[in-house]
Formats: sequence, structure tokens, C-alpha cells
Amino acid sequence: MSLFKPFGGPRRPAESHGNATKAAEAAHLYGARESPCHPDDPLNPFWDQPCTFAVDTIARWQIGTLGLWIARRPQEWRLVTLSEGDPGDNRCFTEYPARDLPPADALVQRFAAARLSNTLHLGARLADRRFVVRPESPFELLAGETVDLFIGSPLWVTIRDADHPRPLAEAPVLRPSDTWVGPDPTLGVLAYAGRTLASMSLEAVPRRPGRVVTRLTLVNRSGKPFALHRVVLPMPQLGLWVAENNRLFTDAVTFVIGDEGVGEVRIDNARYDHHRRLAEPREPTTRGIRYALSLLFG
Amino acid sequence: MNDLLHVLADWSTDVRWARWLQAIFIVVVGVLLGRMFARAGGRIIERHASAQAAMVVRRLTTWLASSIALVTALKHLGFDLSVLLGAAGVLTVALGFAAQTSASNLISGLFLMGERPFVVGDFIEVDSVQGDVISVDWLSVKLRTVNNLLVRIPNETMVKARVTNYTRHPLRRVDVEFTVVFGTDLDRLRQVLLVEVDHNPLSFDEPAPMVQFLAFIEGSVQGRLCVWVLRQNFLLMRTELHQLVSRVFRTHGVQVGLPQRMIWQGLPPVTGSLSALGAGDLNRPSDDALLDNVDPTAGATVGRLGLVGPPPPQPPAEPRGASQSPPAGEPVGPLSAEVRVAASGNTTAPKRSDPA
Repeated sequence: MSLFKPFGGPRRPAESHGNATKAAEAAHLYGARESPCHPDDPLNPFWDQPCTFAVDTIARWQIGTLGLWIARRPQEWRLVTLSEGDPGDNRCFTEYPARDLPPADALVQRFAAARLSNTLHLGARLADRRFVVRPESPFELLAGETVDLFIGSPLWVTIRDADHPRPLAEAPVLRPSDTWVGPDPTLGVLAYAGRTLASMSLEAVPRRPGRVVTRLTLVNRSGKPFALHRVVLPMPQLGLWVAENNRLFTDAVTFVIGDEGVGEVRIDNARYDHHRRLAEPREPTTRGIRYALSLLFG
Repeated sequence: MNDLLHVLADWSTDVRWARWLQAIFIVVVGVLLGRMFARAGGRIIERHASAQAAMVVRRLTTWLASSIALVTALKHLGFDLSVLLGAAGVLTVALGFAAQTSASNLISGLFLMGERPFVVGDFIEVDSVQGDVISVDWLSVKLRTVNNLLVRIPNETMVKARVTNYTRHPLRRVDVEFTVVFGTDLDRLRQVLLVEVDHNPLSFDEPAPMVQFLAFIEGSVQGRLCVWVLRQNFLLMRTELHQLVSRVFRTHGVQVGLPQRMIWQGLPPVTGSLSALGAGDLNRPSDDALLDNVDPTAGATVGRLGLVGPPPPQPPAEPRGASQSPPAGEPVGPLSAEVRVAASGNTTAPKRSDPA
């Protein structure tokens, strides 16, 4: 951690402050508590809120398995991202100044500019590829029926300097496995893979920091039961919302299963009007497009 | 002096020089226009197709425009092109004989450009040469090898040779082969490897990774771990998967299978099970052994498992059964350098084994 070291020790001014001062400073900087958060109250409140740094200070965020160390140096930001631990990791806290520095061999990313703000925005976005989820156990939707499924997926954290419109970096809270959506390895698109409990109630979806829930409505208009082996969620086309209880949601998605292997996707971005919009889709949203079912369900 | 002036005056009034100037002008303008069109066309093609297609369009346009300009200029000068074409025919025959190889390469180049088994930027292997394609020219393909050498391969060779394109498809499968000693719990090993692979986000969930067991070879079981990855991650994953297999073997105590060969000194012992299966009296020399009529003291040892070379030096005489060699059927340590001699048990010999 040599690149972080020069301003460790006596040059970490907040270290000499009392605990109360430090807590107040952290609360001022991030609008969030400094101590570890309860999983039911993750760090959502500070998503996209300004965090002001003093020069030569380091802050640390731990969001599930993702550890972020951000340092402000003259004319540059330094960033270390580390992803380690169990996917069920519910740690969620901030430290300012960071008490623990990242390992010495961690990769330090540096972002320099002639003029940099002292303010950083930690944003949240959805995955940059489609997300393919498989039910943990076989799931079948009867003919003519409609159900809502709630599917969890990891967030991408974006780090942006207040004076620059483009993010400095992006990091997933949990890097999903790669997968391929297509008829064979020569034809298809790259996607992320995940597992889902395919819960039919929101309460059944475990709350974890840095996770977002997609409400998927399945409408089976075909004349036979539909076996759901996997589902391809169009994450880059979905927007991100934060509810009043700080829970994160994507735009609602409806898959209409028709006859003859054709389905329809509807993306509903008006369902959460009472929520706060946190991020726009990465790609233009297509509505009411008819697809081959193999594209929707792999 | 007057004569000279008259000559100059005649020459200056002759229109031929003006025609020559005009012809040169036509050629120059034609070539320049050709290059301009080639560049513009190449740029448009590059936007919608590959760099190689753009290169072909650029070259064809340049050559076509230059040829048209040349023919126009010659016609302007009053040349009879039919005579020229006749001469060109004769010249072509002569050149054809003289430049068979070049013509072959040229035609092969056209086939390559049409068939497009690879394009500029692909990583290919031709006759054990691997490299990035940096250009596909009329006569040859040029590769830049991984150690930054330029290799020129004639198009004719490219058409005849077996070409492997490593970058045509977006996905590649990494295969890691391994051997484990016979008797390893293969179900468990398979399960552990797949779980470990699943932890690596670069490995594809679909197509799913798999563990195959391929063959029993010399006391070992040969296996293969197959993982699909994005083409760009191939080299990284190949390294990581070898590390993964090594780690799994170490942490779970899996013994690497090294080639083992059992050498029978003399004749194998009688086993009840074999007798029960009707194998007969194994102490009795077989017909094959009698036919071979080999003298064991003459420099070779014949056993049930084959001819294995000169006999090892005999240890000092010991009571029968006091040998240090392990009993038959007991696994030998994976890193052991000793040969298990499971015969009558009175000798040991260095193991003939390949490195893992």
C-alpha cells in the first residue's frame, strides 16, 4: 500500500480527533453513520449524495463483499477496490478516515486532472450486461396464469468526481459469473449469470447491501404450462429506484409468454412513482418488443 | 543557327508534345483521383465492414483507376490499343511462364480474400506458426508472432495449409488435463473441481464447465477439466485453472497419477482368483514363453507384461519373502521414484516413469 502510505500516520488529521468529532465529521461527509450498518438499513441513503474529502485523507466503504478505499491527493483520486469474502457477506459500513488500509499488494488506480473537486459522488447502477438467472428449484407456470417473481441482483458502484460528468470507475458489489445467451458458442451475447429463489413475495427476498430487486411479472398466455429454466433480464435497459425504506428496485419487467415460441417484453418505469429515481438505464429502453422465447428465457 | 531555329519552330508547332503533356496529365489526374476514391471508399467500407475488406477495396480502386487513366492516355496519344492488347497477350504468356509462383499466389490471395478464413487482426496458426494477421496482400499474408517477429507466408501456402483461427469465435474452451492415481474418489474430485471453478467469475455458467475422465493409463486415471471463457480471458484462465487444479490436489490430498509399470521378475505368482477364473497354472511356462525361448540370463527379462530390458542387478541373497518392496496392490506414493515389483518379490528396480 505504498501509494496510500505517504499520507498515513501523522498526516491523517482525523486520527487525532476525538470519537465524537470523527462521527460528526463522517455524518457530515456522507450523511450516513460511520459504524457498521444493519442489513435492513444499508447505505442506500448516501447513494449519489456528495461526499466531501479533505486533501490527504482516505475513506473506506464496505458494501457486502466489496471494499472501497478512496484517497484524495493533490490533483488526483486514488482508488482501491477489493472483492473478497462470502456472497452472503452483510457487512456494510463507512470509515472516515479509514482505520484499516487495503493490503499492500492491492492494485491502486489513480485518476489525475489539473482541476479536481474535493467532492465525490458514490452512485449506483445496474449491471452492464443482461442477467441470466436460474431458479434454484424447478419452476412451472400453469397455462393462462400470471405471477410476480422477485429476483435479486448485485449493484454496480460508480465513483464520480463532482466536477467531471463521467465516472472515474465502476465496480460491482459482487461480480457475477460470466455466461452466454445464444443457441451455440458462436452465436449469442455475453451476459452475467445468477441464481434466484424465484420468490413470489418481496419479503422472501433476502436483504443484502448493494443488492437490487427486480419485479418480474410472468404472463402465460400459451395454452400449456411454461417451465421456467432460466430468465434473461435486460438489466442495461432498466432504471434504478430507491424506495422510502431504502430498498432498491429496478424498473418492473413483464414477460408475456405467447404461443409458437414468441414472447413479449414490457418494461414499466412508472410503477414506482413514489420512489426516488436513482439511475437511468444504460441503454435506451425498448417497450413491447416481441422476441423469440429463447431470447427471453435462454 | 538559322537551321536550328527552324527546327525549334517546327517542333514547337508540332502538336505531339502537347498531346504528350495532356497524356501525362491524364495519368497523373487519374492516379490521384483513384487514390482519392480509394481512400474514401476504404473509409466507408471500414465503417461498415472489416479492415481487410477496406484494404481490398482501396487496392482494387487504385489499380482500376490507374489502369483506366493509362489506357485513356495511350488512346489520347493515338496508340492502337488492339495492337497493344495483342502484344499484351504475348507478354502475358511469357510472364505467365516466368511468374507462375507469383500468379499462383495472386490467385490464391483472391481466394483468401473471398473466403475470408481470417481477417486482419485475427490470431491464427499456420504450419505451427502462430501470430496476429497484420496484412493480407496480393502475394502473401504477413503475421506478427507473439515474440514480435514478422513472418511472411505466401498465399499459395495459406490456401494449401491447415489454418487455425483462434479469434473467430467469441468464446473458447480451456482444457486442463490431469492424471490421478487409480482408486481416487472420482465423484468427489469432480464435485470439488466444479465447485472451485464456479467460484471464478470468468468461467462461464453456460456453456457449463465439465470434468471428464478419459482413460485408465498405466495405473492412473486421466481426466480433463473443461471451462468456457471469453476469448480475451483464455490465457489468464488457462493459468488460473492450472493453479486451481494444483490447489485442489494439494488441499484435498489428491495424488497425481504418474505412469506406473509393473515388472514381473521371472514368472508371476499364482493367484487363487485368477485360477478360479480359469487362468490356469501361471507358474507353468506359457506357450508364448516357450516359443520365445528367451534365456533370462542373456540380457533380457520376459514377463507377462512385456519385455522391459536388461535385468536389474541382483541384491544380496535374502530369505524368500524378505524383500522391501511393497505388496502387490498397494498404491505407490505419487512422487515415489521406485518401481513396484510385484512378482516373486526378490528384486527391486528403478522406476521407469515420465515426469508428471
